[in-house]
Amino acid sequence: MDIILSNTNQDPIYEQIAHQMRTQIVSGILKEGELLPSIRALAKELRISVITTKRAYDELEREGYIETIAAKGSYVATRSHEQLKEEYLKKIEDHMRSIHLLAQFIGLSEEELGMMYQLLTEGER
Amino acid sequence: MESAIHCSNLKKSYGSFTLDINDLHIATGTVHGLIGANGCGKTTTIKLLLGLLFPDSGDLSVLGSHAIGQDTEIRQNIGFIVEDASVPSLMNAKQLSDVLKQTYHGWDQGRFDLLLKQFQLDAKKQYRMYSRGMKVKLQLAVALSHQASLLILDEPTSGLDPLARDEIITILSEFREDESHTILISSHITSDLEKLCDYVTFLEHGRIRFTREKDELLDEFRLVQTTHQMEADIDSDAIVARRDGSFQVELLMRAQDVPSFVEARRLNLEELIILLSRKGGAA
Repeated sequence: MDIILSNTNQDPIYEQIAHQMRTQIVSGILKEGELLPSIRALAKELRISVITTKRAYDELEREGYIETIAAKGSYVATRSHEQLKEEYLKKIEDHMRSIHLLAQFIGLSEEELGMMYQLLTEGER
Repeated sequence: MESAIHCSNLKKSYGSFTLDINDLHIATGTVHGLIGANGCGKTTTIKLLLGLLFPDSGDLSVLGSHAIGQDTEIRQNIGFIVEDASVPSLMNAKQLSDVLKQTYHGWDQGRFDLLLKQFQLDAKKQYRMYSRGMKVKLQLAVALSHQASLLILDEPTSGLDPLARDEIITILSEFREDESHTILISSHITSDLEKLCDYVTFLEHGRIRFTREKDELLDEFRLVQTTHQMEADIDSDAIVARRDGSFQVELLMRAQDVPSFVEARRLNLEELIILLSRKGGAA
């Protein structure tokens, strides 16, 4: 698991942790059923408050990404990978629908849209 | 939650200064920061908790003991740093450990030697020859070598260089991994140590202005940097504190009160405390 905390990032620390873990669960870097570090161990490693790491775990648990078993620890939830992928696909579909709508307003062709997407991904590389 | 420290209506006066801690509760397993300006009563509070001073009135309980001044058994479980710790100036660390071996049942010589090495402290050098930073490190090494479950640290990073501060944060993070361990740290203004704190208590003129969960406190406020002209459009009741410059104005506001036409950013604890100290606003 990789977690990089940034002081310049405007997101609160717990959100930075939750976001990075979420990404790693969805992409399969953190595998279903994998044991996660304890709240105290993670706080120790990141040198932050225990309440902060607990909050990150609580949020991930509420969203169903992880499961906590009393006296055993927290695990990546078993529902994970496939279902999460499904959720993300749904989200992408929603975004596409709004892109489609916006493109229609200004009469943007599919070709032009494709080019915009290409430019965007090239910029990331 | 079980409490490591609890104070109620605790009073101590010196001349014109009165410390009045009406309610302070520190739960076992947490890291608690005691912050405030010079002379706000942090050191007095810590000395009362360590039994180095006796309160004029009120009740305090430390690890379940209501008379910490007389309770040498309970004091075995407390590691501390205070500025004027009376370490005999002609003693070196080796001789000090010979004395402490007799003092603490839980004295762990191996741990102490390891910490001396880690802190690069010369065990043969007399205490008076140590720099301020070395004296603090020696006290910390002692505090961590007798299996204490509670650390009470008065300004543990003052006078230390950034490298040493960093080492101390690592060591305190490790100590805190055990959930029966509690840490109270005081600091005149917050430092990098703030990151470890679960809760902060802000003292002002001998009184507790507030005790808050740190994350919650930081989530609550935003800093708006804007022009005097733009400020005219902001509801003045929503401004908690302010700092006026010639070319700009900085406004402390609650996150939900920030209007959408201005830029706002989160503050760190130090910035927040400075702004809150400027004005007696609520938090």
